Amino acid sequence: MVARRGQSVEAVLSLIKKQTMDGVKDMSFRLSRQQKNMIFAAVLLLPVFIIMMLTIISPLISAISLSFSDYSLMSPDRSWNSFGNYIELLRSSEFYHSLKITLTYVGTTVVIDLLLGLLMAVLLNRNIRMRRFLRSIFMIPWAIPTIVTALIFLWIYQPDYGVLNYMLTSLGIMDTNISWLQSMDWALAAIIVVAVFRQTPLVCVMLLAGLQNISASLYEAAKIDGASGWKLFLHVTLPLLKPVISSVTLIMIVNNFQMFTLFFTLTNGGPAGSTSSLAILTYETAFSKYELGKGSAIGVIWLALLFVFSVLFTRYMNRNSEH
Amino acid sequence: MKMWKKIAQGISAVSLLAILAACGSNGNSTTGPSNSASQQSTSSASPSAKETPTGETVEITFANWISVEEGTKEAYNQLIADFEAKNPNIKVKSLGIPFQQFKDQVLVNSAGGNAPDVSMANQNFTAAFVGAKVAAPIEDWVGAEIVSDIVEGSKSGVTYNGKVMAMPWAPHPNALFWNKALFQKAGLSPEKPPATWDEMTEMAKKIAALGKDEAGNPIYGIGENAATDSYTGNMLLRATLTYGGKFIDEKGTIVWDQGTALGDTLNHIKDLISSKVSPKGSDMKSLRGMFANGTLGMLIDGDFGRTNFRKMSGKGEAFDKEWGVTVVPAGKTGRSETVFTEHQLIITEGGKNKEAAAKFVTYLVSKDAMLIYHRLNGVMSSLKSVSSLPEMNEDEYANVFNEQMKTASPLPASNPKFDNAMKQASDMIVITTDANKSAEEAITLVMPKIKELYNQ
Repeated sequence: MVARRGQSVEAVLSLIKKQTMDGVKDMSFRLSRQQKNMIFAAVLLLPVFIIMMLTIISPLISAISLSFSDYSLMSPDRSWNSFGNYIELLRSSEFYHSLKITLTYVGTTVVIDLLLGLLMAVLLNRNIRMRRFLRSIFMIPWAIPTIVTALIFLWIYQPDYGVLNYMLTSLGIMDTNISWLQSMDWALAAIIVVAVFRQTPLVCVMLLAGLQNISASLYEAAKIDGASGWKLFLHVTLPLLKPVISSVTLIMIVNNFQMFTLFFTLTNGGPAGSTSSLAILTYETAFSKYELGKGSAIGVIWLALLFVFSVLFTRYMNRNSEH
Repeated sequence: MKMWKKIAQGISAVSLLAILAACGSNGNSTTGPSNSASQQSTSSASPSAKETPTGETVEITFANWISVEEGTKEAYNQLIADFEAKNPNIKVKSLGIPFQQFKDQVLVNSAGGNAPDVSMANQNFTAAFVGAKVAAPIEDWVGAEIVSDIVEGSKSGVTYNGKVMAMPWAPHPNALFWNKALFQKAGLSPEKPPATWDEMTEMAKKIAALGKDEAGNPIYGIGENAATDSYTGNMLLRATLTYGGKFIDEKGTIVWDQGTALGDTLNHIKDLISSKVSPKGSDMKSLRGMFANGTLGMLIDGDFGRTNFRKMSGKGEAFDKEWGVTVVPAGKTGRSETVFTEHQLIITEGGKNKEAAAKFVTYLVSKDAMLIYHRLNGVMSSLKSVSSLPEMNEDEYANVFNEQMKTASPLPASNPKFDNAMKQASDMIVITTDANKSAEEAITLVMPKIKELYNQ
């Protein structure tokens, strides 16, 4: 049906309505099975999407909006200050100091995690005695909550009564006790040790799963070709484990970038700011200096850094695996 | 298959509806009789009491740190039990928060619309609570009579722009505790504590010279706070008073770095720590532990020290024989200089039951409550009528702290960022003792940051 010149407005509207309804009816009939499945899947996903919107996306948008405003816990007034918080942050030495500490912590922790985790995984993948028992034992540090681990290490590091100083002085390695967490030289290293203790088992489990997926026939073929020991590891194990290593690396980098509990519990950013990571700086800015806008701006920069890094890292690893 | 799809479609529709319904609901809405009825049925099912339309039972939330600290837990339980017995229509729900996180959590809860009805505070926290408009003017709720009974030093510390914003509860002047056994071992008279600052330093050195105890633990002469926290900053300020310094002048301008007092204090602490007369990097909790296990000769601490030492030593009241307490020795100013910290109470602006909250605050500072608290923890009262009661001054311990209170200065905490400034100040000790820089360098590095906090 086509509307013609001279028809009344009511007639034209009724025509449009009829055509629309017919269209909808036709469309419902024309949907393929695949399209119906897609709609069904979308409906099933909708509740999760809404929950994510409420718990992740909405606070994120709110934090981004807050980062462009002057907003303090001391004053209910909130005013737009454009990029004022960002400019102030990028000009402050505090921010770069915290970024440097965070990068040092993340870089060192992840490298040690991976090396130790890989070593443990290779050992546990071999036919050694009590393998199952050892696998369970090695998992214990990961099963302990981070806060509990931090509290245990507070005692281990205690300068006068801690077991670490006791062992080191008893063995004659040191003459005097070291205040591990109160020393500007040692505090960050002490936190890294706790992080490695806590995270290495997780790395080990993930790499172990990857190792178990490598077919034994590949090793046999390599052995027939004359490869053994170190060459097997270098030319068979490592290349095939690469996808798992890259995923684990990314997960560990993101996790450690967000680390707050260990820093807050063990040193609270001290001594004299020597462990003031980005997480601590955000907390201090928002809740000690009460500058929520500036605190949010640190969070946003931090998020952007992680996002850019994740994208570049994933691309690099994908390109490498294609080659 | 079709049946399965229908079931799945039904479930997804119901879950979606449930989410949308949850999003649309409001905890405070009372839009119709059916809604009210359902709320009432929830209340009766819940073990916690809620305000009923007739106002019979009210539940108030009390944010505090005394219910989560071993030394004061018993006092808290007895105070609440006594209050609830006297006010059967008011139930107190404890919101126990560790001291280190207390200020931040109360601020965040209040900013998020979940303010407790009553909150504990101290001078550092009250300034922040007033600044963030968390605290309601206390006089409006507890009445003028009780406010006029507050001792003057305490009252001025909680008065902001002419309004009393918090109820001073228990002042804690810091006095000197000494370990009699270690004094004797070091060849000092166990019954004769130091009278001057120099004498105290000399005695501390003699005690530290003992080296180690039988278990091989190091013995220290005196405990100076040297951790990265605001309490360390408070204690640095306390020591500076002895050298004639002060934090701010009458106009509120920071003058801490003027003159030689701050530098002298930092040099004194550096000397004690580098010569191992005082432990390095210790916070108050560690120092109390050392004093309680007999490896620390002297410690400047508040009146809650006795309870802490009894608990930490594991010896209970028997441990009282092993130590003594006296006023802080006089230094450069010639008088016993110290600060008093003070536990305070605020009624929150966002609290939903202010009348019940006011009753609770009035009870906590009353004679009945303070006698319980004093008996268990030896604390003093900030009310003139209560602090002068014979029961509050019955022993030598109470007398020493009453004497100390006469020369103790309140912390100059009226700026909301005072707590932050004190944490920053603790860096000066770390820089001099750990980075081995001079006191002048530490002052040059840190003081501008403190002044920046105060916008000066």
